[in-house]
Amino acid sequence: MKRLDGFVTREIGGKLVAVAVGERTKTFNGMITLNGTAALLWDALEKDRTEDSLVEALMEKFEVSEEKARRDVKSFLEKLEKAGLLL
Amino acid sequence: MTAEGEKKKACIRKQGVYVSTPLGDSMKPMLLGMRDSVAVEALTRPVRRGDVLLYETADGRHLLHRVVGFSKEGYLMRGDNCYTPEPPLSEGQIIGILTQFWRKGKPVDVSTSVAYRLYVGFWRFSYPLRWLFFRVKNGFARTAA
Repeated sequence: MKRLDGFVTREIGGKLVAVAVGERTKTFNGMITLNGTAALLWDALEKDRTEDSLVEALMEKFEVSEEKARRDVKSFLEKLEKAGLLL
Repeated sequence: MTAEGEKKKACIRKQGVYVSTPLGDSMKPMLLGMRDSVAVEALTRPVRRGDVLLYETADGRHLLHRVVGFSKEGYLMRGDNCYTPEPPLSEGQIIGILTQFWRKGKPVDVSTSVAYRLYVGFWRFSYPLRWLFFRVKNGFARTAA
């Protein structure tokens, strides 16, 4: 799975947000706020990834348990899917 | 204010900022629609000439234009690439104020960027000549606001 393309990330006041650019602005407006975990997953999903590979990436970066990483990945993917941003 | 306007204001209250991509070219050359990004925050000080405000028009559109003057009825607004007058803006229509933008991916802080301040000054100063050029190019026929 991967996320839709046509987004850029902007850093402001210590926050990272993603906004649509180009043709994507026709179907998506607003901003997506990304915390540390979400930012890593957002970046990773620029390419086609499996859920397991996302879990591994989180565990490696943040030294968290597999259980926590899997929960975070699932939650993030659900949010993306709900927003229509997941392919 | 429309539901969409209230949503943007709520985002500013909750997140401190609303970041988005303008769609049109009314603020060229400063901003190009669909390419550049803008950060809008809550208005916490008196409005000044030169400020760029995000606001809702009477017919529910959201515009990001510059304050070019003041009147008894409200703030006088105009896009940097616009030459027709707008109805005066009241405080209640304001969603927020531009604090930063990204032009071709490069961030610009409107309160600290010298280049931006020079641009604002030059753009204001050059308006009469630009208006004349616009009229010559488009004819002197009356155009709808």
